[in-house]
Order: sequence, then C-alpha cells, then structure tokens
Amino acid sequence: MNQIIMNTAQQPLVDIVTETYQTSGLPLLEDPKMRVRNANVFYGTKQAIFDVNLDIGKNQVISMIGPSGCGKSTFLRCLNRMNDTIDICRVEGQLLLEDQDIYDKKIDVVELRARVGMVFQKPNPFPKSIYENVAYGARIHGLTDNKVQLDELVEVSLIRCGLWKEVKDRLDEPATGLSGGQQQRLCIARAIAVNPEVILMDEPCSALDPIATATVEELIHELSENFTICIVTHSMQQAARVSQRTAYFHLGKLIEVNDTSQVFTNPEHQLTEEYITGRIG
Amino acid sequence: MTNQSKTDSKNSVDAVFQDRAILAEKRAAALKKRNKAEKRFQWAGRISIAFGIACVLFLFTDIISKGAGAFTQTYVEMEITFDQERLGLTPQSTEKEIKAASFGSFFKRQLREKYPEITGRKEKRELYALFTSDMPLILRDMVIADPSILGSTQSISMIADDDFDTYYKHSYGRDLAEEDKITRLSEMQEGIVDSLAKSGAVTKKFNTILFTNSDSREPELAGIKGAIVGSILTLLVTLVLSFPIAVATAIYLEEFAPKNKITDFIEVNINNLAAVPSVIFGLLGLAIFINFFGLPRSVPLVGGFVLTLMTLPTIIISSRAAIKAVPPSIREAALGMGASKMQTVLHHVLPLAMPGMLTGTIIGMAQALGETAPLLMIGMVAFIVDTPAGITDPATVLPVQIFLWSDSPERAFVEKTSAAIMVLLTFLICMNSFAVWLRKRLERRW
Repeated sequence: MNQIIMNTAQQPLVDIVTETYQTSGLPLLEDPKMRVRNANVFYGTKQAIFDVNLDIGKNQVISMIGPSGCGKSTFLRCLNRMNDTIDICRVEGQLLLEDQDIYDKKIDVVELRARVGMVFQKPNPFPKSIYENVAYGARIHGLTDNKVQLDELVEVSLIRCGLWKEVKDRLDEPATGLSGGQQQRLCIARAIAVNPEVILMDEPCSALDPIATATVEELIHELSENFTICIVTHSMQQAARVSQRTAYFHLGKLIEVNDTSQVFTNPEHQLTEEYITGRIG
Repeated sequence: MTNQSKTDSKNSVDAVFQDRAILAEKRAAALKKRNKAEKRFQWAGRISIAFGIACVLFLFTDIISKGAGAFTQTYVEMEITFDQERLGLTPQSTEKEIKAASFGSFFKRQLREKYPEITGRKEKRELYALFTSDMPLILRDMVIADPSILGSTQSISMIADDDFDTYYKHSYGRDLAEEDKITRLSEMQEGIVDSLAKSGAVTKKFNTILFTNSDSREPELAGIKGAIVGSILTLLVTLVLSFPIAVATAIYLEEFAPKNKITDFIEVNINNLAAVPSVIFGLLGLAIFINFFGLPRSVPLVGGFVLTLMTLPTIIISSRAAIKAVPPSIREAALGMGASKMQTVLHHVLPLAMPGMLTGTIIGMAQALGETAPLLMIGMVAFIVDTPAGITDPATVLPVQIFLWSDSPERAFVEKTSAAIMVLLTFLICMNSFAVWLRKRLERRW
C-alpha cells in the first residue's frame, strides 16, 4: 500500500485526490470474505479505478456510494469478473475470494460467477417463464438431480424473496409480465437459487418505485444472514438503511470506508462529508 | 452607473429585443411558411405513394388481363368409338400390344369420319391440327388404363390446340373485323370451330394441365409443374446451406470474434458481396462447381449452391442486425448467472434473435426464388420436359420458365408467361406475408 499521507480536512475541495492516497476509515477487516489489494482498472488508456484496498466482510452488507462516474459500478463488476466482457478493460492488483485470486488463470469464470452472483440495475429477467428464470442457474450448473429437487429449489428461492405467494399460480407465465419490483425480486431469486457466497447488486432499486424499493431493501436485510452482499447505490438513505459498512468512492478512488453509522454521522474525510451533506455529487 | 449609460444600455437592449407586436407578426409569417412547407412535404409523400400504387396496379392489371386466360383451357366433347378391329386390339391385349397399336391413324380416321365433306390433303391436315398433337397418346393411355372400353363408344373431352383455344377465347362469337381477329386458323378451321361451338361441344374448363404438366413445345400442353418443383428443390438446397452457414457466421462475428482489422475487413467484404450483381455469382458457380468440381449442369444442386452464395450476405447482415438488437441486459443476466459464452448465445441471444433471422432468411429466399441471371449461367435455362425427381436431375425454375416462354413465338405462350408470373408473384407474396406473420408471432417484448 502506498503510504503518502495527505487526506485531511484542510485540503481544497477539488483535485484533492492525487496519484497516491490513503483510504480513510477502516478499509481492512479480520477474516473477510473478499480481499481487494491495490486494484487498478483501466479502460484502454483511461484509468477508472485507482489503487483500491478494501475488505468485504462475511455475511455483511457493504454499500458503495459516490457521485456518478466515480467507478463504484466498475469496481463491483470486477468482483465477479463481469468486466471480462469488455475487451478494452484491464484489471490489475489482487482480488481474493477466500484467499483465492479470482483473476488467476486457473479460475474458471463460470465457477466464480456461481459463487459471486449479480443483480443488475434494470430488472432483466429472461424472456421465459418465471419458473425457467429461477431454474436456469441450477440447470446450467447441474445443481439438482431431478425435477422434484428443481421444483423445490425454485419454490424455496421464491419464498426467500417473498415472491412465492404472488407468483405460485403463474409459474409458467412469462416473467416479463411481472411488475418492475416483482421482476427485480425475481432476479434476486434467480441469483440466490444457485446459492452463491456473495451477491453483487448494482443499484438494484434505481428503477423501482418507493414501495417496491422498501420490499427489496427488506429482502436484502434478510438475505444478509446467509449471504455477503455488496450493493452500489445512489441513495444515501438506502445505504444507511441496508448496510453495515459503507464505502465512498470519488473519481475512481476509495476515499473512505467505515461502519455505516460512522460514515453518515461522523465522516473522517472532507470529501465524504461534502458528499453526504449534499454539497457535491 | 450614470443615467446616460443606463439609457444607452436600454437602447441597445431595445435594438436586440424588438417590439412584441412586431415579433408576433414575424412569428405569424414564419409559422405560415412552416405550415406550408409541412403541407408540401406531406403531399410529396402522398404523391410518391400514389405513384407507387399506380405502378403496382398497372403491373397487376396488365399481368392479370394477359394471363387470366391461361387458367382456362378449351376442350371439345366428342364421341370416339374404340373399334377393336380398327385398332387390332381386344380387351385381353397386353400393354405392349396396346402400345404398338396405331392410335395416330385411328384418331385421324375418327376425325375424317366426323367430317366426311373434308377431302383435300391440306384440309385434312388442318382438321387434325385443331386438336393437340398428343391426342392419340391420350387415347392410348385411356385404353391402357382401362382395356374394357375397347369396343365401346366414349364421350371424350379432347384438348383443343392452342390456335383453336386462342381463337375460341378471344375471337369467337365477337363481331370483329377480319384484321382484328386474334387467330391463326384458316377459314375452314374457323368454320369447324364455329359449328362445334354452336352445337355446344366446346367447353372451357379450369386448366389443370398448367399445374400438372411440365414444359412442352405445344402451348396447350405446357405447364409449370416442372418449374415449380425445380424452384422448390433449388430453394431447399439454398435454405439448407445458407441458413446454418449465415447464422453461424453472424453469431461468430457478433459474439465471439475479436474486434480487429481482420473482422473489419470481413465485414466490409460481406457488405460488398451483398451488392455484387447476381450474374457474377452465376459465372463463379459455372467456374467452380461445374468446371472445377465437375458437377452436372442444369441441376437444382448447383443452382442451390449459386443462390446460396448470393443469399448468404443478405441473411448474414439481417442476422447480425437481429443479434445486435438483443438487449445487452439479457446477455449480462446470463453471464452474471455463470452461463458460459456459448450458453448465453444458445439459450438467450439466439431465441431472441431468431424472428429477425428467419425474416431475413425468408426475404433472402424470396430474392433467390425470383433470381434468373445466375441460373442462366449454370445452364438451368434448358428446355426440360420431365419433372425433376431429385436435386441432381436437370431442372428449370419458375423465373427461367417465364424467361423461356416470353421468348416463344406462339400467341398462347404470352398467356402462359403472364400466368406463370402470377404464380411466381403469388409465391413471393405468400413468402413475404409468412415472414411478416412469423415476425409478429415470434416477436417478444422485453
């Protein structure tokens, strides 16, 4: 880790972060689920993420906040190698999932994504039946041995997402016929059906109305008992409601990480304070 | 700020922002101009559409008015006595014996007996010429099919010759001046036809021959069955080859190929190929498939190969467009679930892109169905009487049949040409409507 100290409250507002910096707060944990060390991400020649060091705690919800274009989504997508699909994207540094380097050549990305699932900004159910949506992951990973097990898995996944009562009579109907909030919960059900260790959520509520948002937030809270969840959000209230830890990104740099209550009540870094009080962002 | 400078600045503001009343006038004038321009634009569109519809209507009326006649055929009801003695046959005769019997002279004798007043050699020949030259063979086949009719007298619908047919359809019973008559019949022949018609023996029936026979030198016996079968076989070869190749190419280029100079080069070339005149593909087919690989000429197999080359770019381009139209969120969802690249494509992208791909394919097939030039190059322009039984039998296709008939001197072939065009257009319209229907049917909203 680079050891140049410079981030104090006396720094000017703009251009405060230079090439080397130190993340404020407590970015590192004991016995985390995922470890990120000196992560740099480039799109072609443009650097999107600068030297991020962060631990993601087991069965915790960590939210990532920051102004648009600060790299929080890019960082999230590094955690299950979704950036692989972008030709010009290059990831450097160490990203460990329980001491296993996920960018190791020996790691199969299919296996990784079964362990680190993802839920996207816009609900994107497959244009197939509700049942097929949930069963898809189990099918491709060969998780169930017979139809009875698969039925059970679909039912349990939907129950955990609180969707079972609403859809149990129309499992064969197209998933695209559901409402936006239901679709997003279906996407979460689809993600947890393969029982991943980590679930990445990229602004999962930004396309939903407040009621659907509340339902999804409740669901995230419940899921955090069994899953490690990383959530990117634009809503600070949401971050405050659902997460135990909060990471603040600014222009590709991880400015501050701390317990959520700490970040929102007593931020260490001036930029974090500016952001949460609404002066930038 | 002094008073003076205040007035100055006020004046300059006044100069920029004019009186609202004047502005309203200017706006009104501009609005009028704009509205006029919009009206003109709309009318330009309406006139273009009207012109297009008029052209199509003209084409259709012309073709239908010319070709409608070909869907009926003139028949003459006549009593024929299958005299055992004259034919030298008995109901127990074998097929070989029947085939050896002289039905030609038998038929001529029957006609002569109906018209004993005709004696001259030339006149007799004219009498025979009123009926299709295949009539003796048709009688023979009747006897082969049912030898028990030997010795009986049968009322038989005899196919009229094309000159008879044309005269009866277009000139008979109309008060036309001699030079306006569409006929090649002699006066004596016309007399026979007139008297036959008056006696009620002449009838017009739906022309099944058109659909059950293949090409013939005799217009009244010429049909499009061979051409239709040839077209179907050729298109089948085209479809079986071009669809999988094009879809595989499109998927590879869109989903798997790295974006670099080579793929750019390939893309440019595919787009270029779509614009290459089809006759060039014909020459290519001639050089490669026939000269180099030694495949036979005039066969649907080679025709299909050539049309495959021609339709590939069309299908590839439309398939790529269809794949591009699949929202990236679906791909992300599948990849995020841990689906491999291939699973993502096969399970999600392909089903969503399929309607677009199929539409492109059907449009490509419709293009191939109407294609003539490349097939001329590989010899599918031959006069072929037999209906092809397989893809390696000599065959011709509908548009080539139209081309061949349009070149024939007989008046009756003009009708046949238009009729064949109508059949071809029907096929095209059906295929295109099917494409539209398929698109509507398979299209999914997401």
